[in-house]
Amino acid sequence: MIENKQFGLEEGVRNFILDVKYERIHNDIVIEAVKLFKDIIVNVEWTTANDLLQIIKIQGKKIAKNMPLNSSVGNIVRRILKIIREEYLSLLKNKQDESQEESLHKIVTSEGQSDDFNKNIPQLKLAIIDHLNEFETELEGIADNIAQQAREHIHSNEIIMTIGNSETVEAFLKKAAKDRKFEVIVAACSPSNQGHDLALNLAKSKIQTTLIPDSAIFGIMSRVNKVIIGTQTVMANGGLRAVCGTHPLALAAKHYSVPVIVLAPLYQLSPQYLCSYDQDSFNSFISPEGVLNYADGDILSKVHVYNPVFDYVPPEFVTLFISNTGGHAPSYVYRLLSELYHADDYEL
Amino acid sequence: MHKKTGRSVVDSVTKEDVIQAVLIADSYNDDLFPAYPVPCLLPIVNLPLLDYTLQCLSSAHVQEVIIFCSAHADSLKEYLKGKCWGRMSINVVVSDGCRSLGDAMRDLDSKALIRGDFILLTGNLIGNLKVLPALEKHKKIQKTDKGLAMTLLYKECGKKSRTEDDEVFLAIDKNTSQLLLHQRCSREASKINLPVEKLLEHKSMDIRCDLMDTRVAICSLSVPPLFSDNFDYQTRDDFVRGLLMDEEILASSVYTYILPPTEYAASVTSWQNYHSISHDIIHRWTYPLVPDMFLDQYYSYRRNNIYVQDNVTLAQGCSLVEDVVIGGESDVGENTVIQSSIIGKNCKISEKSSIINSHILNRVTIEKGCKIDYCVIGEGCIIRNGAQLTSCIIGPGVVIGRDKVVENMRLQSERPLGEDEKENYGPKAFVYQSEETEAGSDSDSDIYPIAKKYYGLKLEARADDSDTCSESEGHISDKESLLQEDTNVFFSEVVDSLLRGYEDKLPCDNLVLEVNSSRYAYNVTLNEVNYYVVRAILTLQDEFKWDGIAAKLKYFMPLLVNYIRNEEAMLDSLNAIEDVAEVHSDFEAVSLKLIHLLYNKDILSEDAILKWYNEPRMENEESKRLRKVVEPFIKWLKEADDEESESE
Amino acid sequence: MNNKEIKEFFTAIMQQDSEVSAGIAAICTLLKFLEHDKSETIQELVSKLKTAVEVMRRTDCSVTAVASGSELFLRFITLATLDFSTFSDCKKIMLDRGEIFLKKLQEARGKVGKLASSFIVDGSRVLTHSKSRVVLKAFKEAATANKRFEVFVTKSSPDSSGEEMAKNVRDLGIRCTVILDSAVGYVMEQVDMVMVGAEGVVESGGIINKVGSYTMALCAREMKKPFYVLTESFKFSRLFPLNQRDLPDEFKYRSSTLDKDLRDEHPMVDYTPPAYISLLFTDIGILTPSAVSDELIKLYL
Repeated sequence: MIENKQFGLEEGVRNFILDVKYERIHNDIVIEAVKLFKDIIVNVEWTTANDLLQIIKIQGKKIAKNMPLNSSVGNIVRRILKIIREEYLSLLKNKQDESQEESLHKIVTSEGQSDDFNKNIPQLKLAIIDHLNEFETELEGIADNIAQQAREHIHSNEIIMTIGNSETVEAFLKKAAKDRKFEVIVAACSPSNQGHDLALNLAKSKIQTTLIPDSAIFGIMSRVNKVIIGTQTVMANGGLRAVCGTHPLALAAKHYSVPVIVLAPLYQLSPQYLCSYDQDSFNSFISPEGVLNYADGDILSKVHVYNPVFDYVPPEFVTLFISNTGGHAPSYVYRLLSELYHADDYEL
Repeated sequence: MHKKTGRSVVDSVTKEDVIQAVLIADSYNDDLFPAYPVPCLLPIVNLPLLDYTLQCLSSAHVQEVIIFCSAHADSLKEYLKGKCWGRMSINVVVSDGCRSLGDAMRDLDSKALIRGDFILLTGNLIGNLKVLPALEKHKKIQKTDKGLAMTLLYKECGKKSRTEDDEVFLAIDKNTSQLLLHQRCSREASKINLPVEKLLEHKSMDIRCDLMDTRVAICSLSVPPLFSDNFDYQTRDDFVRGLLMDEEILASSVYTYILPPTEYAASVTSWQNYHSISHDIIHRWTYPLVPDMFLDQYYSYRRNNIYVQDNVTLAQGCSLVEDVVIGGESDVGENTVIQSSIIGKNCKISEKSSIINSHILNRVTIEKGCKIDYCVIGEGCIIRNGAQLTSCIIGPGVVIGRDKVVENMRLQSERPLGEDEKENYGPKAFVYQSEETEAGSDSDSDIYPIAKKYYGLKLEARADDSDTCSESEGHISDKESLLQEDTNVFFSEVVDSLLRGYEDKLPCDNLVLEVNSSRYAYNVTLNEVNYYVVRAILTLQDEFKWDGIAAKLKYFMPLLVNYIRNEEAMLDSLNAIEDVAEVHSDFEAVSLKLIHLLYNKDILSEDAILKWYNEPRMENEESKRLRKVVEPFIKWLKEADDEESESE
Repeated sequence: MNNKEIKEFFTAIMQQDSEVSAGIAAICTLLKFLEHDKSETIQELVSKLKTAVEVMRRTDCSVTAVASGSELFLRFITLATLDFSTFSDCKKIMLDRGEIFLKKLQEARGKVGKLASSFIVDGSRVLTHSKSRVVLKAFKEAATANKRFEVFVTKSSPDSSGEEMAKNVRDLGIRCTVILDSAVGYVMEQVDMVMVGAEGVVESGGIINKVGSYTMALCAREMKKPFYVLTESFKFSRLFPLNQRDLPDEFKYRSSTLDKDLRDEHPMVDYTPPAYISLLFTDIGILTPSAVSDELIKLYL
């Protein structure tokens, strides 16, 4: 990842941002991010855990702000911060149960300031790296972990609907197809039409697949047994930031009382909330090409064309989340959050 | 960024595969003056043009960029210092004497910096294009056509109202995508000329005018030497036209590559397309090069294409209508309306102003109740209470006085040398004088032509409004005067080159080349060339003695043979003779001999002469007098004709 | 401190500083009581504290807040006693911790305001009910962050506390409109979100607040507008009402009216079930209603 022997912190981070932006990273961005931060922890000079937390926070913020489309990287940064805190405290006190979270209980029982992470612990670096290596292996196995649960959720002769092209969903369906026969309906997800690729891949693995336009979702929903979708982010309230078109899909499912199952690796869990119901602020808009063509000429100056990437799906439309650690109800997301991240890091 | 010094030998071997881009940082004209001193650092949507270009190259996996600049080298280097462009290395090559793209390419050839196919572009490219597929296609064509010199990149833009610079007619071989015809066209010249051979050679071809020139080209290694061999190539257009015209001689060909619809590219060459490209950016066609995705800029994107950077203060009652970008630390006052405009950083806009279709650069102060429409306002300007600006380009640091009304002006803050203050727009506001025009009057004719658009930001959008009539009339008259001016410059250049050619006894072939290059430079029609060449030959001398004229005619005969090829051209030259005679009365005396001589030399045909004689362009004294003078010759012609027919 | 002194001390705090919440005032009073107390055993101390709480609950103020505040204080005492064996040690640590405890509670409002202000985006319209100091704090935070937004506030019968709220909001330079309580449905379609405070948060995640909050929540749900509650965590209390009748009478009526025929009296508060609440902004973070019980369980388990 980092070629320069002379490790430049800023340059490394900048290159990472550019690589992601220009699609130069071909394997998992999340794993690349962990590698990047491991490099930072190893190569950048720091003495106390507090220094390290600051360094990672600053760089993490830079990355997160420059990559609105990849919020998982921000979550990875939060996880790494949490790991550093954990390792520091466990080395300091030789116990792990110390809860860092803000809680009513803590308000009542606290005795002054909590630790400021300023003690110099020589073994800390090694411990953190070990923990991060563990974390990396965990990440590598995530897709597999989720797919393993497929048998419990997909039954014979069911009709499953999905939208867009999620690798997790693809692996999940393929795994289930190993010993069950079922049918999949893929909504195309225009204008990018990622659904085409998914349908093609599923059909290649001999799964009975039907491709439908987005406009047919509601019409077909009444025949569907289950909706299984991927998502880009799980918001802190259990809502989804998923590919555009998911909200209508979820509404249709609600109308026909079809369960909606969302496959979400834990790193997609974000402590962010949808601040405004005007969805623009959390959405990303890409080039309008596809909605209208640039070659259409003059008409372009007379209309506004938008091509949003995401949809917000409120938590009440989700039946179940399946993460690498099992199934969770949307109302349980807050617990996962407090386990995964430290409250101080919610806002990078 | 210059970290190439310590490279080992191993590196240089693999350098063969490095993708190189040559970026010409100068525009060699003053189209984009005077709002910003350095043209390629001119901010568009609050980011310098060069920034877009380099980001685009960096995202396109280009590894080495050679930035070619002559003027403003220091500010460029200053700008590039401390910037990081990922894995792309940047070399700045400074060449003081460069006055055109041609010079730059010749310099490049002599410096031998190019190692393979390279990307040629200017420092004002905005786009998200991926260059690799174009490069691959270039290499693929190279295998079948060894002469491939250049692949031009075009973007389909449909029937979009464009500026004339962008208006281009292309004929492209449908199968090979070879370029067969390249013609920039003004709206007056509605004809395109396609040689019959080309039609015969190629089975099927597309004639297109829906393509936008991205001004990006993939060049083979042979391009710089071609420029060196043909010293008259000044611009890329010269090059393309030269190659198309002398395809056999130069054994080089040009191909086209049309960008896929998902990719966008355009170059800023004038204020008109500056405006339209900035709106393409705001409308996100250039994604990911859009304000909210710029690195470290942190714009927030709101409904109706409104982009607001951090720390902007918007008064409760101000309204941002649509397509608005506001840079950090700026203030917008109560009841101010902003629409389709871009506001830079640290600007102060007071209450009750309206800013529409304008571009306000950094640190501008606009006081109460100003109206700004279709303007570009440079850094640090102050617009005092109640001023109204329409279609103006305002240089940095200008102060416009209270309640001034300014229209169609280019203003700068410095008083031009030796210029009296004719009109008063404010304490620091003077009409901008193009440097090149002053230099041009020194008859130094090898200066690259400047487009003299003294009217400011005339935009197509205005003609779209319902009251088009009056607007478009004004537009055309502007254009006519412009054309007039162009042809005049052309004429004086032709006279210059002929005079020099005659004195230095240059071969006429060279003169043909020179005349042609001037012709393309000023976009002069063929008829006009014929007319002016003849006229130039005749006016080379001060006195109209037959001996002098005959000697010159004898010398320039090959030139005439080259140009006067058909009846139309003959009429042109006769008209030229007539016009000269009109001005110089002593010329009439020799005109009879002249026409006779030209007839004898087969330059003029009998038919043409008779036609000219019988159908005078206008009924006035001079033309009658001239026809009287040549009457004997006409008589002789007719008689000879009769005799001939009798003898048969 | 005898009962009279307690009452005087408590009402003095409430009158001196209108910014102070009844819950905090109660905790302050109890801390003061603890300082001057001469009890010998925990048992004695606790029973004395309980009588003190009774005294405060009988004053004419928001009983809900007093109840939850004092409950929290008693829990604080209990937890402190668990760690130490002798009473003198115990009392010392109680007073030490008490300081920190109070400080944390006083910081709470600022934290909540900050969290909630991020949800007020430029150009939004917010509906609020009655008077709430923490909601006002959030508006203030948003206004200092240069956000342009508009506030609608209900007049809030019978004490017209909305008028006072509107004045405070206008003082911050924010455009504010007072509406009738009966106009909540009328205004709902214009607003982007509802933000209310709370006198108490019950275990289910529902809230007890100035009467009219429930109506507003129902309207918001019907129009699919988010209903946000801004509250400090010391207002969490161990109640589990299932409907309006389940609320204790002393919560619903002023202590001075409790003796009268309650059928003729107007209730001062109502209960909003958790299903109508989108999120709770508290000093311990942004919570979904279901997270409230979690917090309470952690504390009282």
